[in-house]
Amino acid sequence: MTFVASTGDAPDAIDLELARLGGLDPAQTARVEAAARAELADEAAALGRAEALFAARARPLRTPSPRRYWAAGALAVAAAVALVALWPGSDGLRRMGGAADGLSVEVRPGTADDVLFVGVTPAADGWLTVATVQEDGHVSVLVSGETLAARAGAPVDVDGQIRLDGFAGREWLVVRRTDAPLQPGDAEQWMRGTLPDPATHRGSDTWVMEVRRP
Amino acid sequence: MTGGEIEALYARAGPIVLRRCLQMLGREEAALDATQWTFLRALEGSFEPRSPGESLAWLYRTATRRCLTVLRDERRRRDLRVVHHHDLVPEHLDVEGEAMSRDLVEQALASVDERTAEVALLTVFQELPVARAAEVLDVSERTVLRERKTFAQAVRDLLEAT
Repeated sequence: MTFVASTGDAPDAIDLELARLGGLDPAQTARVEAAARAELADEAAALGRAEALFAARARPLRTPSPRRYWAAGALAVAAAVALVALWPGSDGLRRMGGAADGLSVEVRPGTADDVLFVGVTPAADGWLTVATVQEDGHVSVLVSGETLAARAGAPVDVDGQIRLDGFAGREWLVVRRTDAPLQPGDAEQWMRGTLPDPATHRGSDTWVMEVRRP
Repeated sequence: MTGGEIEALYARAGPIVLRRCLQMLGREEAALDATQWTFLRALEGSFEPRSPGESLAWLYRTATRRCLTVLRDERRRRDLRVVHHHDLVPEHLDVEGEAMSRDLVEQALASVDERTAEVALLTVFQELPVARAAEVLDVSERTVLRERKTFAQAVRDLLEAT
């Protein structure tokens, strides 16, 4: 399993990437650089946009470190604040939570459904599980496993991937941080166990917000 | 490779992997996670590439497998529907010469086996040439062509059924 420089008439996107990694000889590199200004211009531009995004948003490469108990304790106090406030902003968005409680949710009107933009700031490293829990027992695990890594004090966004459907009863958004990733089945079981009132499970590693529809 | 060498590779090759993950997943946050996950696997395993070409092919393969897991996991969740809004993510994908909606093509990933899905992610989502997909998967170009046709048929079947 390896990439080699293409031998055809025109270099391709992989040649461009190999050149960036220093994997081509000088003659091949010159050929690819010329193509990056001509037939590979779109590829070079796309790679440039990815480089800008990576520079702006990529997290440092490191594995979760041991828990930081002092930070978890501090957040436990903050998380005791009620999270059910919701108000419409002048921009038409509805917001819940805030910096004080470590979990914020912005509800943006969508064409078909409202879209939840969720942000959370964990106090310790680990993995996040995100779910919605309905009072009728229906649980939707939105994020689980190794999808969303948490780093102490670093905001995590779960942006633009959760939409509110038309459920008319009470519903809660629950975010849980664990040291080891929770698999979907275990996550669903744990989330269902928070009923009848998930809010009573708030703690240093569990954020709960009741979703209020207008 | 040492941890320091892999961190250096992350700095150089991270944007390449991020772009590919974005093409497959369609969302920045998920793509950033999948990119980091890919390099964390390199840190945890005995990753000893002999050339930049081998590094890059391994990164493609690992990221593609990770993104397939994420996409299939998302499809299992009833309320989660992906919103695509990034300029690196097209709304339609070319499936054997036909422009198909991204949502339909993503759905088709769930109905094919893993090898076919990997070929689809490489050739349809990432638009890699057949020869490059064959290099990543360590199979013949003929195999890639066959799997791509199988996937195209799965997309057409899904289209007819909906």
